[in-house]
Amino acid sequence: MDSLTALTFLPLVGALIVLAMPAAKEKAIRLVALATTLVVAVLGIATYLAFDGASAALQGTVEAAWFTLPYIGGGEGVPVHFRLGMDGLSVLMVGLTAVMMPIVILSTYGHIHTRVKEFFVWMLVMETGMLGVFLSMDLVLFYVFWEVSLVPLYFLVGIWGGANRLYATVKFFLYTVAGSLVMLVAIIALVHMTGSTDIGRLMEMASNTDIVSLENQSWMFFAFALAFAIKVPVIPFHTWLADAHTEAPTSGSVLLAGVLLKMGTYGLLRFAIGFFPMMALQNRELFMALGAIGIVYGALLAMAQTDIKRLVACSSVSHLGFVVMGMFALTETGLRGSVLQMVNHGLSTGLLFLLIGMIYERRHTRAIADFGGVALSMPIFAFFFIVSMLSSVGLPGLNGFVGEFMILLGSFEASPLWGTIGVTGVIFGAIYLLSATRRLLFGPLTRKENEELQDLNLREVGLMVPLVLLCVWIGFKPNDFLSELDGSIDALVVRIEAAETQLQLDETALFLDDSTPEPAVALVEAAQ
Amino acid sequence: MLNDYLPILIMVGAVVGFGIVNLVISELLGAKRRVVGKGQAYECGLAPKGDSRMRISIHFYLVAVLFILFDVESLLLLPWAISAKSLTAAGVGGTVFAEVTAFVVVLGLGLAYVWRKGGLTWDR
Amino acid sequence: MTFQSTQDAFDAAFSTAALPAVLPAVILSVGALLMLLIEIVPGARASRPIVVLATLVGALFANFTQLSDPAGPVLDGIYASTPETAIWGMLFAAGALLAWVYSIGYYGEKARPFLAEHDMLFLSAPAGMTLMVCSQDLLMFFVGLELLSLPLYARAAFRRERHDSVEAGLKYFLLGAFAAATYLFGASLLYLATGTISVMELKMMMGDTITTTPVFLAGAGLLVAGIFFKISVFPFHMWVPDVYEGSPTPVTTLMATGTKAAAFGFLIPISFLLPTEATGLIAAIALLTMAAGNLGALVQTNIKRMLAYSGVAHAGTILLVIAGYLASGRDDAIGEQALHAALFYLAAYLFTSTGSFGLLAMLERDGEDLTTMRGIRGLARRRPAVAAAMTLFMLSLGGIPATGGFFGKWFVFTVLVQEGMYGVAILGALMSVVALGYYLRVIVNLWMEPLDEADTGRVAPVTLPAGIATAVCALGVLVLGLMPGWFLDLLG
Repeated sequence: MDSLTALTFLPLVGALIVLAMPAAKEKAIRLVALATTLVVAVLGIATYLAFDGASAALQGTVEAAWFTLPYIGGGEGVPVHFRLGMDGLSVLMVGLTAVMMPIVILSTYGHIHTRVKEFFVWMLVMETGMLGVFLSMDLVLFYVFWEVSLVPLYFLVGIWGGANRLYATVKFFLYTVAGSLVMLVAIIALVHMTGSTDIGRLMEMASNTDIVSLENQSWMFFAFALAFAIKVPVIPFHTWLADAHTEAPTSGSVLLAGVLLKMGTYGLLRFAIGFFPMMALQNRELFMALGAIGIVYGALLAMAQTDIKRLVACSSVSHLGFVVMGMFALTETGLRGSVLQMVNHGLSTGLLFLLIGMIYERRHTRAIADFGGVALSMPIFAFFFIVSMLSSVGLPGLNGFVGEFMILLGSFEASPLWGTIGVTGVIFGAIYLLSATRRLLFGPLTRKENEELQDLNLREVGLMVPLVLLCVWIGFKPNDFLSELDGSIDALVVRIEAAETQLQLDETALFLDDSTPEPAVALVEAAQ
Repeated sequence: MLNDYLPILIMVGAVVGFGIVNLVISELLGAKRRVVGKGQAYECGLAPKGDSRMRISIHFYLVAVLFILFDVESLLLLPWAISAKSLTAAGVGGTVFAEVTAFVVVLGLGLAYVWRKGGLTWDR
Repeated sequence: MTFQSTQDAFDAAFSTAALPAVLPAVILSVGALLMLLIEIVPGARASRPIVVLATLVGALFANFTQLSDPAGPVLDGIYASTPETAIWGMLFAAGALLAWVYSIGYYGEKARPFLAEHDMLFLSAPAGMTLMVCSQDLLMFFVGLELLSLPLYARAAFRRERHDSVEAGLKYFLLGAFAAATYLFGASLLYLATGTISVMELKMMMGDTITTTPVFLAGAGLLVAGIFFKISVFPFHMWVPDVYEGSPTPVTTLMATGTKAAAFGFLIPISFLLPTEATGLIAAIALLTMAAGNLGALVQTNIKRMLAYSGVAHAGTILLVIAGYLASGRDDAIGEQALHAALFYLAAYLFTSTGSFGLLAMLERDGEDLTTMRGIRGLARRRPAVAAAMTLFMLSLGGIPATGGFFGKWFVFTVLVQEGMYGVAILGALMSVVALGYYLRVIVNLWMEPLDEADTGRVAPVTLPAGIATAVCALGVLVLGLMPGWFLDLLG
């Protein structure tokens, strides 16, 4: 079996094995889940290392006939394939998912004590769903993985979540599905118009005005963008996120922040921008504005929180605002920065949620006011918390800085206004995160419960070390990771530039009339 | 086309006219002697007894429905009876007879079912 | 049609080709009669299951042989056997078989003496459905419809000691009779306008000026309205929740899946009777049906009633394909596509709906009402397999991928998108979000609420037949969702 298929479906195999085990054998179930994710992680890292970043081509492609959509495509029917592949846009996401999973599984030793078997089944199914989303190179297959990956999180939050979990999980599901279904109509229309479900070929065909007219491109762009914007989430669709994050068990939050939200930004990049660059250009200002507003609004929301987990959840909205703004700057720097920032956000927010989970397991409260002086009783915890927080704030030398810097640079090129507004988000970010850290870790130990806190154990430290190392690595040598994007981002930038030229020509063509000299008309038409 | 129906119209006219004429004549010419007995409801030569609004056993409806069912279904035998000779002449009489037999068997099965289930028993 | 001689007429009506075409219906009818015979022959009752199984499997097989080599129109063109009707027939037989399996052990002592009559329904109903989809003649359809409906009316009131059951039977009968009258009135007006009741001849007349006369349009409208009653389209859907809830659950299963499928199986091929101007009207009716079903289902606490409303919503979804067909200017190719989309959708719906109603039947066990949202709380802790199957069915009803419901929705929307009806498609898609709202409630109650010992503690054990039937339904849902090609290949 080839590596990508194995990568995608190994977790599912693990899930089936867990399913077959008796529920009482919790230790063995945990081991099987951990072993499966570790194997997948090794496979994922191997695939990552084998990836050639200089090339824009799909790598490790697998293709097998699945079925034929009848009728559409001129009566012949459109063959749908089981097609997996990896390019510069997805390689970092695949690596991130593979690395995060064993860490998440390890973290559950602390907080999952009921219905252990079900939990790991869903966890492993989720990994297959997430990897499938990033690796699918067929639109139908992509959509299947996209929606299937919702179900596990729905159960993870709904069964193992906090007090208000049912509201949060149903809200999460319905929000996401509403966007997805609108996208489904666009997908069907796109497949019907182009007669293909191959994502690589659709990249060429979807932006071709001879195949898909501009009006159709326009509504399809918004249909795709809506689905992914809800998932990211972009303001004003962010309300589900705070609830879902707050109510989810630690491992759910980490996965949600670490990987699932990236499905949204990844989708925006590959489908909304990749399929319809002309529309992305036309709506550049709108999305940059939404990104910038998200940055500031998310930060303001975070400042007002008294619950530390909700605070980090709101900071997610702010950080993902950066990603969206950088992406829709549609400049090379902005695009590269936003892809890197997806990874950065996964690492630093993931770390923060892990840490919050660890302290919640000890104190069973998340209210910031209940803490204070924790650094005295838990120095190791304090160290990791500060590193993660600084990475999130964007301290130079850590990963967050590189991503945010590139995004802001790229955004200034495209729109100084929104770029400037975005910069204020960095300041706000520093304010709320530093003040929360101060209230949480420093000051005198005012409560007796906090004096008796146990510091982190070996397992807890061990599971965070790889993430911290990655943060530092990206902070000092971002090019080790950015170089993987070269080929794909270059190709995307070329396409965006071509679309820009096309748009300008279309605009010129509007002014052509009978009075225009013949040669000029011929020139414009030839260029089109 | 309407001309074809003219004889029927004439016949309808004749029938209705005959009735009307007879009624009118007997009204005009007949003797009229009014007595109490004539004004009463008349039933088989006896004076009526009791109230006419009495409850009838639900069973009656069952039997009535069954009667109508079998009545209507056996009516379907009539077209076959009429064309049996020509069907035989065309050489398909045997097949059609087999079909009609099948129909009757199905009917018979239904009857047997109803019988067995006690649908025809008046007092249960 | 006029014939030179009786011999000619006979040859036209009866040829050896007709036998394989009508064989499925004949097998089912003979089986139904045998079931009556069993009841009156002393000591033959034990052979009930054998007769049911043999008849339904025989019908399945007889339909299967028609799949590769369909006989086409037979019996003077009033009956046709095509690959589509063969698949419909197989679905009907399979659906009846599954529903019957779920009925094993469902009824309490009081209903026991009438089980032969009950089982007869599961043979006469698919016979009626088969006639409905195969009919090429407005009266032939009516015969099938009545063959299906009359026993159903009686079976709805089967638990006669229960008020809701009797109410269901009476309501179903009265409204059904009204629908039948509407249908017949429409058919007679069509006959008045055109002088024929043959579907093929009517189709050949389309485009004629005759088909734009008020009489023709009124006839077509009434005819379709009569069928709308049967498929519970807005505003003719009011009876559905009461009847579905009151009827014994195995009978409800058959009503929800088979009746709807058979009515659509005839309605879509004859929707050419409607003028193309009706596109907007049909689309609006379909969307309103979806809205009425979904909003009605949203507030239910009884799952059976919720599924009844959800069935209304699904009928609305399928109705969308007719809007797409009319929008295409009654293009034959689109008509075929619409039929196939509905076939796929209903095939998925049949397995999903049979499975979920069947599981409810199992939970219910005649009287023990565990079919409320409260009643299934925490069921996953006690019966994880039942909860898992129910979850799968709910997700399929909601149209989540990897289940048959997803591709059903895909094919229906494809018909609309092809005609550029993006707005209708998006509205339809958003209705599914509302629908997911209540399907998720079932899942929430199954998995995420704490176990309620008082209620869920009484759950009956899973019997072997019900277990097998559930497994078959789940497998069907998954196969349609993961390998839709297998089903599409049958359609050619």
